[in-house]
Amino acid sequence: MLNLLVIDGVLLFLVTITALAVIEMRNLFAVTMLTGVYSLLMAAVWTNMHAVDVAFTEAAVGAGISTILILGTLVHVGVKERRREKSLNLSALLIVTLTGGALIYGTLDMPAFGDPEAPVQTHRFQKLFDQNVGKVPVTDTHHVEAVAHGAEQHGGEQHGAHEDEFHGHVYNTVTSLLADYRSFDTMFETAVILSAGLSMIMLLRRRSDEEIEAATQRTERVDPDTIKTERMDPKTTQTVRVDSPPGSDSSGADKKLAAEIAEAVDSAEQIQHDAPEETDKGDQV
Amino acid sequence: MKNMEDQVVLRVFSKIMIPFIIIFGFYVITHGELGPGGGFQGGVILASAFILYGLVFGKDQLAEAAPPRVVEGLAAFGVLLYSGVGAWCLLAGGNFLDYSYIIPPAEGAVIPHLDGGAEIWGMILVEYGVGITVCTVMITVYNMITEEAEA
Repeated sequence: MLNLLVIDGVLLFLVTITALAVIEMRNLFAVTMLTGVYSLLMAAVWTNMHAVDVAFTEAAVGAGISTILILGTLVHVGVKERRREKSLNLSALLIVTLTGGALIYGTLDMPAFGDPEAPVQTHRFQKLFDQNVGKVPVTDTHHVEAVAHGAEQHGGEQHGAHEDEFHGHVYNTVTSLLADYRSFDTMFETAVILSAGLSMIMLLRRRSDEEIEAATQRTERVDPDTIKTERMDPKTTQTVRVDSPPGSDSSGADKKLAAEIAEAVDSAEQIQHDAPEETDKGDQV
Repeated sequence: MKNMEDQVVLRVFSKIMIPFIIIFGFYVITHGELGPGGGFQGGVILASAFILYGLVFGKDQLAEAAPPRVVEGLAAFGVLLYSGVGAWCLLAGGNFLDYSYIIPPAEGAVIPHLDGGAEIWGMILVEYGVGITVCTVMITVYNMITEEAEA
């Protein structure tokens, strides 16, 4: 127990130093690396607290993927942070100190770390510890056979299904909670991840030259004779696309563009105008 | 970033490591209900294999190995798989995402399945749904960031 506390103390000390370094440093590349170190240290702390799933996520996401993604962002924004003038904001300091003090005061009521008398160790613990369901060897055969086999091997008491409040959930409590007990939650989390990816695509996708060419040709097909004057070279199209609002970056933008140009052409034909007017309209798009 | 492919150590090391990373990713997804891990972590590990490939061999090679069209389609497929499992349970007579109904009962068997077997099947499918979506979205995010950088 004491050893654990020493390890925790050292780790948390390192975490604090890393966090302070992240705040103080101005070289963003070093900051990115230190964020990775921070995640790695936190993963060690979580492991020490037996929160293996959290540690796993912290290591994979915090130290792994997000470091790479931040590095990718650094390619755009450069590695130097602009120097800010340092000024002491008294009211902010006061609020932060008060909040921190209140949080620390709140922790005083919590049981000591690893206290065997703590409610988390005693409340329903024995009942959960004793439950048998879900602890039978899982076989590929049908569940009825599995139950029968289990009953033969371990005695009938092994399958007291009705005594189990978890209804036969699996070994790993965390996954069981995430994927079954809160499966709706997880489903919509997945949907959130998907929409995050979709918004990345909508915000950042650049269309290739072929796609732009295709869009231009679609425009030509509207009316080959009249449109010739305002045939767009890829550069112009690209500028237009970048300036347009982010939501419209999909192929829908192409159709809209084509439709608007067609409209311009129509109106031009109606008033029997010549090319310059159309070009103006095309630029406005 | 362009010359990374010329570095022998990087090239050889990543070529050796990528299969192991992928295997480990699938292991983490599949064994999520037995040990630590699950769809999210496994998906991130799978994505890191592809991102490593993209980092070392360039984004054109990555686009060849994992075509953006397929990747983005799979991102949607993951969510579809997850909600499809829910709908399957619904059609089999249970509640939405009630895994007990995922395996059709044998003659005279009692529903719901309480030995954990049916739940494990449901969970594996669902975790793969999460894993596929997370993996492909991470690859997409990486694609988008590098695409912008090199254009």
